[in-house]
Amino acid sequence: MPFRNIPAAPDVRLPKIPLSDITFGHLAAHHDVASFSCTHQELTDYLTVDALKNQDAHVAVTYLAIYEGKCVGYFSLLNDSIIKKDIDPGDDKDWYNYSYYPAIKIARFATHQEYEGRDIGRAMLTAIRSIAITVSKYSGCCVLSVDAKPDAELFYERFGFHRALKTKKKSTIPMYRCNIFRG
Amino acid sequence: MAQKIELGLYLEGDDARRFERYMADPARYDTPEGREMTRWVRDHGEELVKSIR
Repeated sequence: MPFRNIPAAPDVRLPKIPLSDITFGHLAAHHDVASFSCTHQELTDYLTVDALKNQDAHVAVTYLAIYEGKCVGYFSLLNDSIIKKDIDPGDDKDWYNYSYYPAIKIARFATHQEYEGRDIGRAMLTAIRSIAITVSKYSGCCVLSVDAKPDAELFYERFGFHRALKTKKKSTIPMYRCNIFRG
Repeated sequence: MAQKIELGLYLEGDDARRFERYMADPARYDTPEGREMTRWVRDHGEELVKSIR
């Protein structure tokens, strides 16, 4: 597993918002998300246009991070799997435990641009890991996966996500991290 | 139109081996902030999930 030097968290001067001051809720029709704005326009559009539709169809569940009554971030989750393919049956079985690993995918993850650098992302990732652990008590789920935008890769790396593919195959970067407790 | 959500991460060869090595001992490859988050989730995660409305 190659390691890279991970820089410390950026030294931004804005006061951090503690996790205890943020509440999380399922996206609902009554939420006002029209004022949400992210540096990636497609993430803004997803929340305002597609998220509720996908949630109603049980395709992806969206959670809002609320601070002082305002939506400061959101994330969407759905079930995923990590599949090892084209494995030679004669290959060394020491490393070959399962062909499939059930996962939860972070399909969308965005912070309101006015709240960047204030630990909203850390709070949301903490919520995601908590949700995934809870899900794993009811249905197999041991990994978190995400297709990170290039400018978000370091954020995920800071929290123990790893690049899944050595060779870049698309514009986003598939990453994973184990989300089970051992010991 | 929104970017579609792609499901299923396929790993083969070295990528699959690296993943398997990682899953065998994930703590070894974790970061300080990842470990800190794990501790928090272990101690308070259930409470957080119950608070979601």
